[in-house]
Amino acid sequence: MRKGQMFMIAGILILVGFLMIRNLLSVYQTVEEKMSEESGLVDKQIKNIIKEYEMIVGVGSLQSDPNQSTLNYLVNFTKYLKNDMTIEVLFMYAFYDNTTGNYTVNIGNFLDDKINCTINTTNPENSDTFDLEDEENYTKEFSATSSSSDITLSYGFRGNNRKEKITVLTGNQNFTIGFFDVTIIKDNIIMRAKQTYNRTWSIN
Amino acid sequence: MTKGYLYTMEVLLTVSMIFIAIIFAFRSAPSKPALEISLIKRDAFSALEYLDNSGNLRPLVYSGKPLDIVEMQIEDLLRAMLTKKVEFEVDICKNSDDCTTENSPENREVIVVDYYLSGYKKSYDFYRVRMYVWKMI
Repeated sequence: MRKGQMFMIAGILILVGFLMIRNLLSVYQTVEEKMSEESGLVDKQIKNIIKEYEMIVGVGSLQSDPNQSTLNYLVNFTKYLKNDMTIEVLFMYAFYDNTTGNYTVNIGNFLDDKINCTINTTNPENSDTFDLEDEENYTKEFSATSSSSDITLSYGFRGNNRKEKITVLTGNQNFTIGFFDVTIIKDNIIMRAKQTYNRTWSIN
Repeated sequence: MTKGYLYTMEVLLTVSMIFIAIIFAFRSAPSKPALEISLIKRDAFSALEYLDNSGNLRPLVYSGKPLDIVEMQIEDLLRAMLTKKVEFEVDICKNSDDCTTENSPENREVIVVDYYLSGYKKSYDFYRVRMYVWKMI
């Protein structure tokens, strides 16, 4: 074989190599880009859902019985979402009623698993330990003696200990606060977001 | 002299073939149908999200008007935002089972995007604004 012909053969082999690399790279890029776009979409969906939970707390404060209305709507909305997608939700909602001086704490478990909870409050100092089955909620009323109360929820979930804290303002206005922990599971994307929303208002 | 000249010509030819192949191979992105669907989904959701953030979506859905009229109004607003390469239909429904598409083609891949609304002002009704999107031929 002549030297020139060897160059030609080597050139053809290099060409084939480039084409193969090109195809491999494009497949890899497509998978990566698709994953990135899909997770971007899940991110948008979770933001949409969190926003709607905030909306529920806001709209709930306009009802004649803010605590019960909000709790009902939070439960109903979560069930509505769970019918539609794989979603795990934990919410903690508190309402301070300035006319009675009491505040109520609600916890809703929609994590698809039982959780064992401990809830601590600073005003009054109190601690409660209880189990919450999936789709179950806990409600307890407290009498406030100072201007705010820290509520700490500790719970065990699938071998992990989680702790969340909200502060209820127990001053001279009505106050409502919602904490939402939302996880969306879609294909092989798991996205979790937490958000707190509060509102203070006076009754004329 | 002639042999050396021939070798040089062959090497030059090979090198130019490789360069031309590289240019052709990497000049344009390959078609990515799977990615295209994800992009359409994202764009459709972003359009609904924008309508909500700009304060147009919620007042329309909770206006109390018949939903088919509201759907047409939303479609008009979305048309200005989405590429002309896609066609779409909007359906507002309370439950997933209530959602129906009338105009989407049967023999094409139809992408479904849901945007949730939980309430507006004192109204607590849950709605799902569903978009059916498909590519124009």
